[in-house]
Amino acid sequence: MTDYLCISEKPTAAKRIATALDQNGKPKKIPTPPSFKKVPVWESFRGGNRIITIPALGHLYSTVEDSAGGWHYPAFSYKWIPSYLAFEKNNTRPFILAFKKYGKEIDNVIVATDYDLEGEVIGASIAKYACNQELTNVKRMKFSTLTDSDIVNSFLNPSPTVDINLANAGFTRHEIDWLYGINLTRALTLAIKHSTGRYKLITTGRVQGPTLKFVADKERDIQTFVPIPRWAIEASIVVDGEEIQIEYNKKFITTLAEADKIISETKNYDGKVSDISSRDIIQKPPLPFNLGTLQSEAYRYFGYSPSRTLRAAEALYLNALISYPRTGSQQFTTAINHKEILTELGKNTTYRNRIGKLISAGQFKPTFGKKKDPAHPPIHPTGKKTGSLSGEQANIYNLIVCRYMAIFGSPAMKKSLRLDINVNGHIFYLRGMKVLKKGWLEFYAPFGKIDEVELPDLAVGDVVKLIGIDHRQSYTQPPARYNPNSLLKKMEDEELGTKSTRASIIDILYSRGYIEDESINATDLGFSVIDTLEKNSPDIISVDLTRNLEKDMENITTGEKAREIVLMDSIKQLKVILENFHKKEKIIGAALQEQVQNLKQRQRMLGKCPICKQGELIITRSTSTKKRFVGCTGYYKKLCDWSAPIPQQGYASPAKKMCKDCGFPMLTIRRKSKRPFTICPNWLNCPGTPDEVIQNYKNNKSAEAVIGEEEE
Amino acid sequence: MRRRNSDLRKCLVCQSTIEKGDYCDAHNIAKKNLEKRFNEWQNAFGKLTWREYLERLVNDPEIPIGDWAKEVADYLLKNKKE
Repeated sequence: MTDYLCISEKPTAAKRIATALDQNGKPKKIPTPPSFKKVPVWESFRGGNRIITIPALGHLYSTVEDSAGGWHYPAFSYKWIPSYLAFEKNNTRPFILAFKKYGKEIDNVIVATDYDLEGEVIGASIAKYACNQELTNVKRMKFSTLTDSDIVNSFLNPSPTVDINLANAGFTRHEIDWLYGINLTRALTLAIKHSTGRYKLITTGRVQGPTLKFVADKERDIQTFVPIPRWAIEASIVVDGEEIQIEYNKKFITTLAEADKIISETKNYDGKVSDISSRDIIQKPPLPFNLGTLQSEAYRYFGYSPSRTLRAAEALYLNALISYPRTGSQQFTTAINHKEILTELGKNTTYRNRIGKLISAGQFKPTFGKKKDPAHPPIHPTGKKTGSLSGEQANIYNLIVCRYMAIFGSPAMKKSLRLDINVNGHIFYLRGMKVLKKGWLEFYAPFGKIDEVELPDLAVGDVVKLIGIDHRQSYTQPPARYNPNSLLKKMEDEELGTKSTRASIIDILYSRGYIEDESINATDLGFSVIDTLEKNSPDIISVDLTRNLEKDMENITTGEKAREIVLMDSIKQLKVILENFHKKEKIIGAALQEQVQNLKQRQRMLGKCPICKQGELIITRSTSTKKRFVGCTGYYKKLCDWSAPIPQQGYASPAKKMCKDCGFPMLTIRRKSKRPFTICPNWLNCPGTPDEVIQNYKNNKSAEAVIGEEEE
Repeated sequence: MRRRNSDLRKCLVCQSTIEKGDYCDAHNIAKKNLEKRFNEWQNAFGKLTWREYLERLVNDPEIPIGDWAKEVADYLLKNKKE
């Protein structure tokens, strides 16, 4: 009998692995000593072997500075230590104790974490530091789904060692990220401190900086944008008593004179159908989902942020309902039995009819794209029965199944129609769309729907009556802001970060206050940081530098580059960046501090005072009562003494809009766990304030009674 | 030679410290955009003075002008003669 110690990544996965590996499907939970009594240690038996499965809780080991000497830079010396020693409030100590105990007793260690960069680091660090194993002696289970068959198969046919190159790439990524994060954050923060004596923590990281730069660049384009006027010709005809909008053959006219001319030349004329044309469009079935395309479609159809989609997909993976989601692959290997998966899915009444069509047509050849991932296939359902799923997981699961069915479908065929109407020499047109053959669209439904548009029953030569024509002025629009999905796509296109880390980097930028809102804009703080670094230390936010480092780490994975060389090169680069930074430290610190001060000022300014029309309304505090109120800066020059109380609770900031009832610039109040609301600072005299609010205030003498307008 | 504090310049619009010129980088880009677009506005409307152009940009809430560009337009209206 041989004993195995199986390292899993999470408690849920450990239970599933232990259950699959136990020949009776009933692993035993071993009683554990008080020091790690909360850690589930599972005992399974298979073929006369005993398997102990213990979960980790993500990373149990972390990189920390290996020297005393306080907050300084550069800091190039580091070591790996248990995470519970590295961070406060870290609850991983019992897990390390469990691995240490069983690592001493059992020699055969097998890593069964997720097969990717992070999984390899988690497994390898536990095997190395907690179990004292040489990585060359540690076996590796590789699976892409948590189904019983995949788990058992990977246990019976493990790789002889962990993926040393992948583990090295993972360790290197952690170390380089630590080196960049700690040094750049300290450099920025100390720059302010050394220049002004003030402490203000400014954080950044290797991928965060360039990602924030994308947002800041876009924001700059938006804020400096000057639109150009243009005119659209709007016209309609009547066919069989029904009014139909038609479009002019030039979408926009650039001069008012030309727009006027078109109107005068067409206003009193009838139209004549001059041409009806059509063209067939073949739409190929989509590619299988990888993480990026799943996140993109989930945002499109459900509005889920990339990190929300990833969370839901991971939960589905842990329930063995889908394959491993952190994959970039668009190609299936022949090892996957699609017929079997489709047959299992067909037991679900939602998919039965469509699956029946695929099976009877013998369509088991999926589409494939260019991207490969040797570790995992594209995201696909396992066919396992779902049981009840939460709304979010149900949506993502349905999307994945429909996409999976669609990749076996035949191309869809559509007919695009165009009907031209000549009005005194000017061409207007109508467009129609007809689906000739649904093909894969039938399998992807309710996603990928095409709206069919019928054309009116007209023939070439028919005369139609123009019942209205005019031009409408509009303006060119500023570039669209990123949303979490398009920013993630931009990172992917620019090869910043990995499929596993991109979503969390966007979350970090939100949590640090550098970006805000669904339609992402750089906050003043985010913009200030980028602006200062761009001028004084552009390498810190260089996309090229970060992208090259990503390539180097990819080369470690493939064995083309040694980990030590990549680390040394990174340290050399970082050293140059920090030396240059240090030379300009005072300038950078002063610029950052000024930006932060300006930011604080701007966060208080609401806009022009409508009473004196000279001062600015600002959010300020009474020096005597310390209460918050809105007042006019004209007060200091004895120009205006207007002021009004505002709510004392929550964070108050300019709403950047005017009160529609009295024209005062409004403010927004944000309170924890509550929806933000905007109020008019002139609420005591504003005609829009309900009488009961005024009455209530007079009774309580408290501005808390203000009723705000909830933000959309 | 060390620069004295009195040599430091301020952006005419936002008062942030600048090394040269009259505007900070952001407001400088905005001003250039205002100048670049003026010709197109003149073409579009046939006849338009610089002042009329700026007045429209500042006063018409329907125009999707960026905040920084609007700040420069506002400054120019109040501080420069045509």
